[in-house]
Amino acid sequence: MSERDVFYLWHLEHLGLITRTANGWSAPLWDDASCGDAVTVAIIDSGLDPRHPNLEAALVAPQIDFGPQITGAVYRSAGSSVSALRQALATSQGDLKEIVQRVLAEVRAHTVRAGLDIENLSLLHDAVQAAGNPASAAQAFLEALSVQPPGLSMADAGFGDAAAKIADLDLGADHSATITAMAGQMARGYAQIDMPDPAAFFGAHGTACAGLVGGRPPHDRPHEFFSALPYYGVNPFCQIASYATPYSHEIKPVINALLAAYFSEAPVILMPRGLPDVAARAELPPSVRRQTRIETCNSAHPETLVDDDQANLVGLRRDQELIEALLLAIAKRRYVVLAAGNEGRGDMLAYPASAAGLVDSAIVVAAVTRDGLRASYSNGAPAPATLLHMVSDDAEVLHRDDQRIDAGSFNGSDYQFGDVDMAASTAKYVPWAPLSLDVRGPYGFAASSHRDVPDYEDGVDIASLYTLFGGTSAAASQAAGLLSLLIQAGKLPITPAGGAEPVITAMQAEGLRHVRPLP
Amino acid sequence: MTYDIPEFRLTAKGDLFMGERASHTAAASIPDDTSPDDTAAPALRSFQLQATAVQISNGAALSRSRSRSRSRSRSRSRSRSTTFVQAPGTDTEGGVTLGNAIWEELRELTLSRFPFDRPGALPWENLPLPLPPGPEHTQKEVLDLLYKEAALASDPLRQAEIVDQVSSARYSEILHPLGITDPANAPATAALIDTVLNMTERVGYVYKRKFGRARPNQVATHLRPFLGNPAHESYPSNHSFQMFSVAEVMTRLMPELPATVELFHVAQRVAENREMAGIHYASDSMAGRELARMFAPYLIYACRRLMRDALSEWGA
Repeated sequence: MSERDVFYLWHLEHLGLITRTANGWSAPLWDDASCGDAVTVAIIDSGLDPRHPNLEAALVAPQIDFGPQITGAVYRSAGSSVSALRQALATSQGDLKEIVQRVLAEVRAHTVRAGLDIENLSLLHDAVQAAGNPASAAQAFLEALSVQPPGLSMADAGFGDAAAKIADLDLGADHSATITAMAGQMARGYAQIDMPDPAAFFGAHGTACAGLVGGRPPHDRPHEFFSALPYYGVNPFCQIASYATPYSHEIKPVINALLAAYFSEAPVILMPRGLPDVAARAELPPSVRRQTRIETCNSAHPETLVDDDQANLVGLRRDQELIEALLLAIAKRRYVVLAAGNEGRGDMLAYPASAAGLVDSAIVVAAVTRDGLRASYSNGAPAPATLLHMVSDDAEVLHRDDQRIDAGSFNGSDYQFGDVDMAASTAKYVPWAPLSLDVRGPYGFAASSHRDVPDYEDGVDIASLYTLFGGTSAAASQAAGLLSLLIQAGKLPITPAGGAEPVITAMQAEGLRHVRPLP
Repeated sequence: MTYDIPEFRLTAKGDLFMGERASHTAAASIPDDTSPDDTAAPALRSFQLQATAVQISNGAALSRSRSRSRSRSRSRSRSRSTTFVQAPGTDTEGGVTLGNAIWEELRELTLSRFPFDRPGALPWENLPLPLPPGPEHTQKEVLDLLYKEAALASDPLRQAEIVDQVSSARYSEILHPLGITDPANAPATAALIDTVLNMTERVGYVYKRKFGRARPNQVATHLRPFLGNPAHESYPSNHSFQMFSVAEVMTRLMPELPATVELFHVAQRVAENREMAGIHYASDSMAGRELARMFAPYLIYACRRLMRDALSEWGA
């Protein structure tokens, strides 16, 4: 394999997961996993493109977005026909039977991909068709549609026995009461938004993460070059549940997403994103140009704020304590996978991986390059032995601690840097990044010439479906896929033993490569 | 079992091509389906694909610095930048925002499509914003405002900051955390921010009208606001709504960029400055933030092409 010519799934080969044979590729772990029950990976990130051809078969439930509502919202794709039904009922105009049929067809087209059950809705549809005067039956049909999207009942989502699951976490009384109240609010049902999911346009990060976890060849035309590629994530037999979260100063939306993921009983919870460290920010030297209620509290005259005001240091500190306690407790019961962070610090981790005790119970993942060095941007703990290392890309870097220069860049081709050893620095830099999935159409990391999100089946838009992707997010995502694969193949217990070490042992037992970088 | 994984190869630039064991050479042509009157056409053309290789961009996940390239969308943004300093209908001198007549008429025009179902016609006008607090809570907020009024009196720096932020069309607070010193260097990003500020200003008026909350010194005449009352109701704070909306849009665009999280802090600062100035309660600021959260899916959908253009200025 020449350096300018690398196999498109090189990261899977590098891991030792797939091996070239005389007439194809073998993957014993995939053989084992394809016989096991599909393990669900819950992804808490930016949201993903739910219609990506390499992803849609992996999704087990509608994506829940904690951005527009902190208790979660779902987007309804059957928007136009549902509006028509609503208007027809309000105005007593239009052919209700025909419209109801149209709604059912749209809902079916949407849900079949996710394997959801719409039996109840079908029965209501039949009642409309059979009725002499369909108005009241159509009203019932509309209400069934409005309560929750078909197939998404809160009981099915694991909220039915939330109380027992909260008790099982064994948190203190205060935290338990708060969590119970938050779960109670969510259990009333997710908000419905009759809009396209923003993640289909701007969920590139989450889509790339999900692709590395569990991308798979599309059902149709799987091996044609100009159809969607036969792309494979680390575990192409897993299931994926996506929880989109906002990247802001707030913590509550992420707590809610984490709770929803925990209640869903997904054995693996991947959170490649960071969180705001409220306490650290509150300790910054005060600035008269910066301060707000998010980072200061006037103790002489505490302000009167409404309960749900989240720009409130006192409340945010409570949220921060809560999510740390929750992450620790959940990490003892599920595989919680966190990214080490991209600050390039060998001596620390990003928040929340840095929270006390988490590195020993959760799986914190740092990035190594294809050559086995810590990626230049990757954080590492004071004790790298506690981390799981997965292969990712590299970044050019030029400072006193490290020099890596891309031979193909201006730096590499045109310049000299004093006594920097150019040969060593260019040799150290690794240009390879894992290939992953990108949102369809003209959005995302890779864009096409289409004006809007197209139908991928036209066959000309596949360039927009894939992207090179890196960072510790890519490393953590591969780790989450790997954990689900090992569980599914019966090589790892469903309950974690704590930390990275047992996972590394299981990997090595299966002949997979774990590269611990040199200090 | 043997898996039929094709021998696609990958170059460092992300070009994907058939590998050594492939049986045929692939070729495809990409039609130019952009029409000349398409406003995004220049940006779209630049994305056009090569015929024989499938090009895959370098992931931007690690990018922390904005690309200096500004070739895309330049013509459009140049014309937009003339409205950069001042939003239509905004008087920067006195801080008085005039009623924006055209919004009302545009709304009527849109609603003409829904002759029978007006209440449900525009869902983003009926987002479940919490009600303003009652009189007892408001009384406590007024007390907080008195402390703020006193603090501001001896704080000339903050006074200057507040005056500087009177027009919500000033974006320097937004641009600085993003590392942009001159909007001309990031025309599509500036155009996006400009558009979000303009759109949300008008949407905010709808909610102000709906709730009809009186300004603080209309409730407590002993307050001496630093700024005069704008000609709109108090709840929600439009400055808060607009600035948090920019943060929502930017954080969706680049979730992995730390600067976009900072925009939430900037938005809160601008919102609190309006409280310091005595023309908003703390709960108005909170309502602006909540409205921005709920309105975001609608805003993002409406602005998606502008957002894509802006993203193209932030290279790997």
